[in-house]
Amino acid sequence: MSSAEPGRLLVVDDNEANRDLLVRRLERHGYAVTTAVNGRDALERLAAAPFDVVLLDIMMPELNGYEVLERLRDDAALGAVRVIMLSALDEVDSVVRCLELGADDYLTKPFNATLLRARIESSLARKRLRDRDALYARSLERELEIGREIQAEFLPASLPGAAGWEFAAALRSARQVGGDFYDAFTIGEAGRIGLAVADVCDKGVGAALFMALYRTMLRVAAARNGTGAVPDPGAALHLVNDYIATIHGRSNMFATVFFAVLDPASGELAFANGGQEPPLLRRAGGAVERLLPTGPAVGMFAGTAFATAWVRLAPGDALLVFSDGVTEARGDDGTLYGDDRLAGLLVEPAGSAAELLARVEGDLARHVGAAPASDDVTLLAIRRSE
Amino acid sequence: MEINIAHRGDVAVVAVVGSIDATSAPELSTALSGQIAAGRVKLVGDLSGCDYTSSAGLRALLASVKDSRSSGGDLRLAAVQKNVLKVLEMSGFTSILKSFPDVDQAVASFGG
Repeated sequence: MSSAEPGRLLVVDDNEANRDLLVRRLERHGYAVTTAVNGRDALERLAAAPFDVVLLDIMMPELNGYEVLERLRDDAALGAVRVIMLSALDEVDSVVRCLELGADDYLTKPFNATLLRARIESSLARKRLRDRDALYARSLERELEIGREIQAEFLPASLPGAAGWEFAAALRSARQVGGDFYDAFTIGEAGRIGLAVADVCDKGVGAALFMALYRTMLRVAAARNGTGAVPDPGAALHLVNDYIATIHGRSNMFATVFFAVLDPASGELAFANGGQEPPLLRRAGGAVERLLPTGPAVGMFAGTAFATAWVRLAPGDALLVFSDGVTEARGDDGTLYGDDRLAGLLVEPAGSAAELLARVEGDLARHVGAAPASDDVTLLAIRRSE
Repeated sequence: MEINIAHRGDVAVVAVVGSIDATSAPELSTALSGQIAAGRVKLVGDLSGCDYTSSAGLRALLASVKDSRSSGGDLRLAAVQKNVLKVLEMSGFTSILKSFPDVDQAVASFGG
């Protein structure tokens, strides 16, 4: 609403003579004035049409001024409407009560014309500010929603298929956009599969922009270091690290990245772990191994080396890769989910990759309860079928 | 999170009390970069009262260690607690940041 538009006022008073006097004055000043004859009538009119300021009498039959005020302040849709209480001089104590209930101002009868105008203008100014804030919040919300949709497209639309292998992945963002991602894609002609889980530091839009950069760089690096006779995920992380640290060093953004190249035929998994929580490898026999970091977080300093390590997945083995949003998820009581509880979920064999993922998500949901998510949660499960 | 700054000779000791998360990390960044901008490039991060840091806190530390070193100083840590140490180790920060058991030793490491 521009300030050139007349304020929309609702005058609520059960006394007809008072009401008419006030309406005539206000209309002379150019306001658009509607009247209500009691509290109930006022609420009906407020629900039916938008108003900027309500001039509300306190003593009325059919819902008095207090009751109308309480209902107004309890109604989120009407929260922006400003309220000026109208009172007789001997009602000053009750005016205090109204201010405590959320009224903005008060006027004592009989009204002084200048004071009346000034109070209404001041309330209108406040209302317009709130309307502008609400408009701004809505447009920001829309922008973030667009960001969320675009970011979702940076995740693989579907997971690769390989005979004898199962893949499952999930990402739950704490905010509309965030810095976590997973990736799974075919590399080169030999049918190798690139697998990644990464967590860009910090949160929000900045992390989301770097997420797109890391994900893209990692795919480029995978094509370069994942197709040779011996894939080298460590060299891929080195390439990404040096690019980010050199070209984007001033942003001081880094990411923890687990990147692996799987040969589905042999079950060989070459991996590099740049500062990521160690993925858990559950052997078919029940033993749990941790794929420990082979280097620091990626993107901090140029020249950092990342080693490549190897494991072989046998039939029945399952690998769970996860972001720290899992282990650091806080429950209702403030406790962290923790590594031990997660590892405890691997005692029972995984029926499938999807079942393992659902098992972790279910247990995590039980831990978190109604507590708000503080970080993105990303999970990637890989299982070699028996 | 609360930040207290004390000067010991030419070393600025920046003590963090509480948790560093995405909301509080910018405050830590501002405190550390404020010291560097004022020419105090020998910094000690006193983490004896810090029970948790998210990656946003690590980012603040990374920025300060880079900036202080490029001005001939350094950021060193003191009295890192168990939870925070785990995060620093996992992400490889222990390989880039010198860490000491207490503030006195961290300050002394700058050689007066």
